[in-house]
Amino acid sequence: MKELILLLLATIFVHNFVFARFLGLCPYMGVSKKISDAIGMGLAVIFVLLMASVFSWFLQYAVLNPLHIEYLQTIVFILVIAALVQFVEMVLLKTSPALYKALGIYLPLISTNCIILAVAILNIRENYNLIKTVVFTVGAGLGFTLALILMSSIRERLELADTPKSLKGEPLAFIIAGLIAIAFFGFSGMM
Amino acid sequence: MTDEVLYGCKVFYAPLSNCSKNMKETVKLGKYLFIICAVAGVTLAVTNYFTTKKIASQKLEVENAALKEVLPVAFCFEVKNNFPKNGYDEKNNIVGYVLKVIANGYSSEISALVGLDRDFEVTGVKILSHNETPGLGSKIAEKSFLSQFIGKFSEKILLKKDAQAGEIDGITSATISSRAITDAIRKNIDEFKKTVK
Amino acid sequence: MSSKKLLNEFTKGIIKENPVLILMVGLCSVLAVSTEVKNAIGMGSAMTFVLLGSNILVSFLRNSIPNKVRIPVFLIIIGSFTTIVDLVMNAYAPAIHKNLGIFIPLIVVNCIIIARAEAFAAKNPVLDSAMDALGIGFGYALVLFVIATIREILGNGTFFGVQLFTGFNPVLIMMLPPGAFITIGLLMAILRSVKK
Repeated sequence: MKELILLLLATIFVHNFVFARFLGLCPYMGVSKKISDAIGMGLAVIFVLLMASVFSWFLQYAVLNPLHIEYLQTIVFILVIAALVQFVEMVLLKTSPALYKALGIYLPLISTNCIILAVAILNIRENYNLIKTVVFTVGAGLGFTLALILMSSIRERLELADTPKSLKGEPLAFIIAGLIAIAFFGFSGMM
Repeated sequence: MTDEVLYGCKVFYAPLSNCSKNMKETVKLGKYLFIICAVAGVTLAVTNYFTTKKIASQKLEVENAALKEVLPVAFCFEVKNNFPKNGYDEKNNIVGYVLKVIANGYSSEISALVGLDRDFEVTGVKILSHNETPGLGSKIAEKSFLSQFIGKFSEKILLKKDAQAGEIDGITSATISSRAITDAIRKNIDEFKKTVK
Repeated sequence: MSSKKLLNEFTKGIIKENPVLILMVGLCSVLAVSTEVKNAIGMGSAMTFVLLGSNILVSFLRNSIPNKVRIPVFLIIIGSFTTIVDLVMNAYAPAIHKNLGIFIPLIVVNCIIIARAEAFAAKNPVLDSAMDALGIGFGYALVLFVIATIREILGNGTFFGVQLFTGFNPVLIMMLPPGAFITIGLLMAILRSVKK
């Protein structure tokens, strides 16, 4: 149990997916302008991450490994993720229009988010069992959400500030991400 | 993100297949997909076949090179999936052993190979992987630190600041990393000695 | 097709539609891999290979791919090229393969490849698509190279593994994530002011 909690904390803070691993950056830049967007995107990502990770974990151990077609991992995983996002959107639309309205617009951006594929592959590379896979995946999603919320809080304020024209927007966002990354370094001795 | 790229991302997500009103159309789509999958599958299987051997042999080469680095007197090593491994000379006599040591460092797990001769004196240490603080703890992977272990028995493998008998100089400002790997090496050698005796 | 037009397809990928600094795609790989010039070149080549292969094949098949299944077909094509690069690199350039790690399979989710397939290769002849791919690939590799050069020289005092100065105390942070973020932010700002 203790090991799982440590894994969770390590994934959220010490090896944060955005600030330490560079994963999940594309939507990060586009969606981190408003705090409400950030929270919505974060929740959608955690949801899709969980389903994609668990499903691809099963596929790897039930199909790819026994048949020794591990080299098909990339193609199989990406097709699964694309299909899953489609499916989630359809289900969301039919069962909970309210939830769809809140999360639905982020779904197209999520399937191309490298973080989904990355987490699915990392679960296999680190040889996690199913429980650790779930913990790791949730940690990744939470870390990503944390990064989004931090950035959007800062960027909301920045909109009102007077910044040089060429720095305005994305360049400044990256520099700020760099500063936050330095701050996150302080977590490294936590374990 | 520009419109084109946003479009590209949305495209990625576009409907995989709509409900075909036409059974014939579904079959045609299915056939096309099947052909593409088959071609892709075969191409990849072939590529995989040709590269697998090379990948496996390279992995073996790298492993053997690492083993030889920590136990230079050995000619070849025991072929097994786990450690500890015996090292043999040309006449197949045991000349030493190689242990794999895992230590809990400051910010990561440190894994290392330790070579021992038949008297359990250290012949070499090689850090395989770590994620310690760059510029500080990462110095445990440098020759200047690791060479201290060569020629020592486990009784002396302690940080100087931890015990009188200790002969290992820790790295300045990286005591935790230094201590972690030093203690782990010592403990592993002691444990191993029990299994051989 | 006129050679001037072909050349145009090639050069637009470098400044006007630079995939990293203007379109902002494939950022994950760029930041993670740009610690050493050697790795940057490896990644740039891998990316260009996949983009080229995908554009050519999609363009070649553009009249026969049924519209309704074009996305899975694109994914399978791009995924196949990515897997080929993965396997071949593992066999013949294992050191670089190890350094690039998870970012090789992640080539398949690089928005630009599928955006190009859908928006360009599916509608244009093979040679045009090939030039487009080479241009974008080169633009990508160029940015990677520049960032890696800055980070390796400042953060490690080396270039391509060769020690450049003696008695130089490297700016360690450049080799770490923060250095990557700050470098790319500044580069983007510079390119924007140059474009104006």
